[in-house]
Amino acid sequence: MDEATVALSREIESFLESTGSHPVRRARTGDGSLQGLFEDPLTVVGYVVYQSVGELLSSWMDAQDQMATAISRSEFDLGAKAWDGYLILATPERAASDQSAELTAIRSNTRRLRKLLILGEDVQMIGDRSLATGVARSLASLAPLELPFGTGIADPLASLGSRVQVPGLSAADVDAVVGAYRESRPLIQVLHDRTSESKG
Amino acid sequence: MRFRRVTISGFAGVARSVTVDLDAQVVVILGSNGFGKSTICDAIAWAITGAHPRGADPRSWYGSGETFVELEVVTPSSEAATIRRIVSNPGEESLKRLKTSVIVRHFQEQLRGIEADRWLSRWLQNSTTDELDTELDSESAIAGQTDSFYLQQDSLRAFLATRSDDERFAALSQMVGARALSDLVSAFDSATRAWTKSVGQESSDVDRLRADVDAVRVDISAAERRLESARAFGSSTVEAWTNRVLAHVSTSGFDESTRVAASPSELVRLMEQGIAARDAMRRHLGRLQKQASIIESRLSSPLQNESVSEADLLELERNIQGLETLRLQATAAVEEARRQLQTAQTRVEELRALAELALRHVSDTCPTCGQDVDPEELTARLNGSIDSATAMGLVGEGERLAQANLTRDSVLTATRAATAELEEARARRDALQRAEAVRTSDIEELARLKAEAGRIIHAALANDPQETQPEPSDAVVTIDDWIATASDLLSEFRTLEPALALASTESRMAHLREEESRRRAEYARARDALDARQRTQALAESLLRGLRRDSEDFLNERLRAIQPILDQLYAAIDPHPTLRGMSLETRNWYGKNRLSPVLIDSAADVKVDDPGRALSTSQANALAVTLFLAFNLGLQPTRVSTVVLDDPLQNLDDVHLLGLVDLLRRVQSHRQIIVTTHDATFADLLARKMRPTDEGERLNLVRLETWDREGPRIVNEQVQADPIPMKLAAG
Repeated sequence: MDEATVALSREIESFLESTGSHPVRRARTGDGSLQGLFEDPLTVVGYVVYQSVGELLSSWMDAQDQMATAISRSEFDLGAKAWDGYLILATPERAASDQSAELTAIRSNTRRLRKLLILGEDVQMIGDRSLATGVARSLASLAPLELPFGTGIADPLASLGSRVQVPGLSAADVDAVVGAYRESRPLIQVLHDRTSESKG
Repeated sequence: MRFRRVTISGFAGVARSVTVDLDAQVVVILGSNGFGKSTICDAIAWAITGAHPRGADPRSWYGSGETFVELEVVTPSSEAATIRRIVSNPGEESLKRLKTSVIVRHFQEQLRGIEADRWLSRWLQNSTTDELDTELDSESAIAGQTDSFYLQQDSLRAFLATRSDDERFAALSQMVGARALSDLVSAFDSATRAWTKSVGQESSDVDRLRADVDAVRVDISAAERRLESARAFGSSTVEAWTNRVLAHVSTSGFDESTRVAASPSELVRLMEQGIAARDAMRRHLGRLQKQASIIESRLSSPLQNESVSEADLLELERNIQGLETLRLQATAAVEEARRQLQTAQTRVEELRALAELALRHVSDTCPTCGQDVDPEELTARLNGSIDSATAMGLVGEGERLAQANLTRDSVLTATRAATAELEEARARRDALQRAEAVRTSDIEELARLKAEAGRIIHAALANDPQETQPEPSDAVVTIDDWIATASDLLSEFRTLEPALALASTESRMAHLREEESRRRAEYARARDALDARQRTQALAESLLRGLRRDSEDFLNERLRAIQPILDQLYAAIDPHPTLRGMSLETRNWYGKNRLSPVLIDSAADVKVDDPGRALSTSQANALAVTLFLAFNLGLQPTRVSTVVLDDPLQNLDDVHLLGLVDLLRRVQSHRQIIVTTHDATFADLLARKMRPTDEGERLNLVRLETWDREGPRIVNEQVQADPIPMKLAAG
């Protein structure tokens, strides 16, 4: 396994653990076989990292067989979870244009297991995007949602005077216009009265 | 706020009371199309907002029973409450006038009307400020609230594909709570336009005032020139003219009072009137003269007809009477002659008949006396008798008749000649009588014309009627002279006008100077006011630009806040193989804030701002769900912690379907999920993949098994939690 492949494998495991999945099996073989199996309360996730796209295209079905066998041979009846497996097929290599159709077909293939692909273009360093970001984006459907903090409706008029800077007008002038709006008074007349007074 | 139970009655297609158990983290409602899935979702939204999400009539299609929806909820502070909404005027025909009343039961308290609305507003709006009692006061506000938790079929597809970019901006502004700011911008925009228009009008008014001042200045300049001209004339010139005019009009019958009181302008008026009157008189006099001349010419001619005396006429009539007697006698003689002729003709015919009879009986013996006769001789004698009788018997009577006729014709001719002579004599007499009558009339008319001419001459010359009047031709000459003199005086008057107008010009000049002063002051006031209003206009336009920027910034700030969750949701569904990023971008174009969903291929540095063009129906549906969840989870515009998805499955392929389910599985940690579907496989998939993972969680599968005119038949099922969720890891 080369350095890029190892880094990608570590990042995938790190991501899965960070989302609450528990490792069931790890095997960094580098021979195209299943390298890791994880479980959370709802799903089973396996992953393989290939050195090339070509290897991925030729070997992904073996990895799928391996994972399906692993699930079916479990000593427990997995029940609904048996229908809820995800196989991550990853490679640090970028796909050539003539490979995209085959890759799309794998991504669209939902038989037995859902396939999640991570390709070189997904994890390539672009701008400030890191490997972790690329992996997280590719595996977004496995990650819990992180809701933004402090949302909800704020009154956009409450601090308008301090936000809107207009030469010749003070914050109090702007707030007076807001007050006129709330009280259904003529807006420009209020502004005019204030600015005329200050001139006077 | 999340939902626990909804009871629907008399709502749309649901006639009887139907209750749906919503007390679960996930509620999957399965039913064929038309079995009432959307009706249940609409009823929930109606209960909360009081508006049907599709603007439809909420009342039952069948019957006139009560329409109500009762929604049991749990508030964010874990308190149970019931929202009951009822159509309060069920018989109303107009949907626009349909009213709903709401009752909220919270603890032991029952709130109605405004109090209930305020309670709902407080628990609906997720406001970060203290202004929690803002009411849902407009249709757009209600629609925004509904759209934030209820994904109707195709509504977000419409958001993506059919709405214009400024409509999208407005819709999203509503959703992020920037509606008040958008409304302020809109109101301020309108007010600024109105102000600008009024300032434009005032500017025109000020220009008009400036023009008024200039016009007064022009008048003053003209008055100054007139004053200078008037002062150049002496008053003696005017007096001399006045005296000459008075002397002239004194010959025209003006009385003394007029003479004393008449001003120059009055004298001008009088002379103009005098000229007009005399001109009319002169023309009238001319016409009278012409008529008199014609009559005099006629009178000077002698009568043409010779006189016929009455004695001559009587003699003629007597002669005619004698002739008439002779004519009657001649006519009688003719009649007698004709009678005698007829008698003679009768006798001849009788003789001829006897002779012809005797001829037929001629023999050798006489039938009367028996003597021998010579038949030939007898026949000859009889034939001769016939011929001579005819000739001799008629000659005398015929001649007498011819003579009588000649006599009568002669008398008739004489009578006709005498009658003609009599008629001609009578005609001559009548013509003479008519000519004499005309002459009498002419003499009277001539006298009348002369009298009228006299009156006119007297009026024109104003002389004593007892004095001898001049001849009309002389009078006309006199009148013409008067008119000529008066005309000369009037012409002379025009050269005196400036001098005569001196006083009035001085007075007008004073008035004009006052007017100029007044108008200058008015113009200055208006100019100052306009300057102030133009300054306000400039400030208002600057403020409007600032408000628009702030409106855009405010929305952008909210969009930046939700970008991470949008990225995550978009990546989870991953609808497009190359356009793998998405953002919502705003821009201000021609004074309007606009918003476009943009799909991004960062590797190729390509942006597509029209998703409807780039995505298939399946991909667009997946994107629509992504956006809905991003808005709901990222913006949290309401405190409703439930998302309602009405049949989101339509047109989704397997990958996007599984992606959607994966997403909903993640959403259920944050929201109660109510999802409807017509697809039993999808429902089973949802039930399996979103199953509870511990004992405290529930998943309700609501099956709408049939539907009739009363509504759907409902079967509730609960999916149990897996007792050992982590089997592999445990092993």
